[in-house]
Amino acid sequence: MNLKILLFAASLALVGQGPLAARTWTSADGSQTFEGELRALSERTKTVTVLMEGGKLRTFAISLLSETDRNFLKTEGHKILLAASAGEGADDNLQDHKISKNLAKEGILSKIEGESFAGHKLTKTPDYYIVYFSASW
Amino acid sequence: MIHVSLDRDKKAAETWAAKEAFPWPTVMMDKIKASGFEDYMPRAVPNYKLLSKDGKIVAEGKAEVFAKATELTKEET
Repeated sequence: MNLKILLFAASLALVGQGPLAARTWTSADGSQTFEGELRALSERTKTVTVLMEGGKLRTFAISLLSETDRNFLKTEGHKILLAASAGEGADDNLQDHKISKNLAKEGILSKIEGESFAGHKLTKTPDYYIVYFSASW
Repeated sequence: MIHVSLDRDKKAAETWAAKEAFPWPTVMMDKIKASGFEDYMPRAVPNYKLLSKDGKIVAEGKAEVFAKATELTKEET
């Protein structure tokens, strides 16, 4: 499995959703800092979208950020967005849609926690699902 | 993002998921029928499908799914 490609493909914009990764961001030259939550990340356009403290969304080039921030985005960015997207979506009834109706059943989904799987529950209905069929072999 | 594991050996699936720190939920082999994904089973793995919430296949295959997901992401921003 090419995990990097998979993570890129599955990167989702989460504009308008709950807090994800609030942090202090620093400019590349270290002269400026600002508070904001990571909301979207694009490797194609090499941009990041941050929800600023005042509530405005700003999209800018990743290259404008400090090395620490760039490393954070590289190692954690997509994981954070994907993890957030796993339980997010339109706030409607899970039973109204074919996929969520099944996934909402007890014991269907599990998620890795440390070294073992733990039960996971779908709480909202995304518009789309990337379904990845695979195995360790 | 949902991972459907075709590992018959749960421990192997678990070890792999832990090693890669999978951030997404997984449907284990013994839950595939109940999950409804049995209807979408591929002939070979790995396989990617992009499904709408009503179960329609929007795209299939790595390149197609990635392209469509990127397109949809752009539409949402």
